[in-house]
Amino acid sequence: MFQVNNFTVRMKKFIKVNSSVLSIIFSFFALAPLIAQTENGNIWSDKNRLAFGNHLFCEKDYLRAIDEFQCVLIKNWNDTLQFKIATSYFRMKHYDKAFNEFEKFTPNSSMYLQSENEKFRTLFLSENYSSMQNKIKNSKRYSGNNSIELLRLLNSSMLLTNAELPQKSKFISIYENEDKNILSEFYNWKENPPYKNPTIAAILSIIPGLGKIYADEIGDGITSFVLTGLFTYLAINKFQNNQQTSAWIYTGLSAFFYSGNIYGSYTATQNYNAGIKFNFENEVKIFVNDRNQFLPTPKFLCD
Amino acid sequence: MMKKIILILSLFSIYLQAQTDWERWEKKSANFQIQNEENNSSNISQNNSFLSLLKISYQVLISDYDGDNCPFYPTCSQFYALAINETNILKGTLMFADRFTRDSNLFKSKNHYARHFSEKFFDPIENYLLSDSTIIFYSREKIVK
Amino acid sequence: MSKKIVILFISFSSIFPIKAQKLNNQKFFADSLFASENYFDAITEYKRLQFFSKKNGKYFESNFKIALSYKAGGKYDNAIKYFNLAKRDAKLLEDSIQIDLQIIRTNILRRTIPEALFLIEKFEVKNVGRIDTSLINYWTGWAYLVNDDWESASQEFSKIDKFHQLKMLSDSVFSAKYSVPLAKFISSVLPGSGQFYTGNYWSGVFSLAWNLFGGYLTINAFLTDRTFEGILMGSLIWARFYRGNLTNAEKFAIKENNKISNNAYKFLMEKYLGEKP
Repeated sequence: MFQVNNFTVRMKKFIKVNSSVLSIIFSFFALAPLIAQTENGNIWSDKNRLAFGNHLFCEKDYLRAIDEFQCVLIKNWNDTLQFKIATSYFRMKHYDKAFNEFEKFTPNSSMYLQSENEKFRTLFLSENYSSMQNKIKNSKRYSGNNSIELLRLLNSSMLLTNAELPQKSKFISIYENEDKNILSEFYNWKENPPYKNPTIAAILSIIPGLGKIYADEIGDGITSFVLTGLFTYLAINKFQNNQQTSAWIYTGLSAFFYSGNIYGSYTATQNYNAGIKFNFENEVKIFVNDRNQFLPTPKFLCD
Repeated sequence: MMKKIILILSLFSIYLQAQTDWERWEKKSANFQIQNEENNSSNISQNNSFLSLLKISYQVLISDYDGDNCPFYPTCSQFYALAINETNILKGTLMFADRFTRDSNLFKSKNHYARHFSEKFFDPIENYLLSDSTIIFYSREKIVK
Repeated sequence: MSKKIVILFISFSSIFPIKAQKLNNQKFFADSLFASENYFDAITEYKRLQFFSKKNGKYFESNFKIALSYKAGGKYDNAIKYFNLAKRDAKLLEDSIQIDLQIIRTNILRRTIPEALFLIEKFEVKNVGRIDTSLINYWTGWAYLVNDDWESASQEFSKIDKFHQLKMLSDSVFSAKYSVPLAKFISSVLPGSGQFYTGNYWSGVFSLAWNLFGGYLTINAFLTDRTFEGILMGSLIWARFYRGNLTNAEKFAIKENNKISNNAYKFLMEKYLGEKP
């Protein structure tokens, strides 16, 4: 209190002594905001571009946001900004570009771990499972064995590739209890996929249509049986009536459908297998995506 | 309740509208014309002159006059031509025989084929070459272009 | 003391003009991008302008320009969204009339014709006595025209002027068109005749030939007591080509009609000098 009083007294004295000097000083202070304003008021200053970029980012106008961020980033590197650029590409589903942007983080960077996670996520979503597996195995965190998220992602992705699975108990042990059942099912499927055998289908189709029915194409099987049977009947009938020309035409048609039936049963079984494999992989993908690739997600201001 | 629905819908529409600017676009002058949906027949380079003659005559003499019977993309004649082109005449004929049988099936359930954007069943030859590696299973929920 | 006040005044007042000046520059920049048809970037700059003039609330013009940019880029959903935003801030009646018309025109371009017609009706009721009815007829006509409904379009344009250029065009297109049901009907009576009607003579001849051939095979089989073969021939050959004949008659009629419409559309796009949506 005393000090303040003392200060004001001294100020009053000073004003009295030299008012013209004061006016100059005062005008300087008055002009100071003006000078600052020309800096701030410049729409194209880094600060303003950044603010505008953030606004666009929150409006999901990612392509325009990237332009703003990059102009600022060129002058001085900034981890958060780089991360936002990469995330913008990621959210536009431009996974290649997103990966390249996440790749720009060095191990010294404070956001390196997050960027690494995002790289794995990007690779998973762009279905580059094998390269994701390699990247995880080369990661320092993996060899340290201290990242259960990475292990979970790695294991789940193995259901989608031809990689050899570890022992079942070991495979399941790293998941949450509630997930263990479904992963056990996935594991069993992958070890013993319920494929049908195309050769068996081909052999079964000695009786026309039976191979197709085996491959779950019942309608096609019946059609095949009817067509082959019909033309065979006609052929026999014509031969019995001694109408050689039409008899041979019907024989040819009968043979055409019969051989097509054997060939078709084989391919139908292959397609059946492709179908159940697709459905299985789809289920795995949905499961892993539901768990958000087991990786923690970064939060942004506008999320 | 209604408010909530409107809010959700408006959020959704903002999201969709943001997406239009995820690729740069240019000025586009308005086009009032009616687009013909007619799909041009596939361009197959035919080495075999007999086969190309066969195919052309089939198209000129038959397929133009028997209506739009084929529920598949590619059509049966295109399928045959593509199959022969890709393999040989014997295997191609076997593939065609199978396709013809499947075409004759009156109870084609829609789940057995993927949908092509021409609203036909998508049934490419690659799925019938006997090799597991060329088979691609197309999701039944999406439309193939 | 008075000296100080003057300096203070100058220094404070100078802050605002500078900011306004900067925004004016930005507006000029955005406008120049818009004028040079660089619409994607123009939108960016209008958005920037909006972002930095937040407190001013002067969104009308920039939203309107953004909407026009989207419209020019064929992004009609976005255009309508921004027209509506601009309308929210429009203070003058003329402005909101202008925007309403733009929304109607964008709907015509987007081919959401029922919505366009609904909006035109609403617009007419709202602005009774305020606007020229020919304006309403003109855009209603355009809506029908884009919808390939030349008869209704002709009616609308004739309300403006009995010899309106677009009325004449609509009439000529309407009279040149083939009747699809007629083509199908005559083809069902005599295979190939529908194709003849639409000028596809070769197709008509072939269709007729196939049907005669299929009919002969089928009837002949039945007459010679080969019932089974008769059914086969009938279903596999005759029915197939008869059905093909019908679909072809319809297909050709539609195709020829589309050709006629497209010629007219081409004229509208390239040579018509009046206002377009």
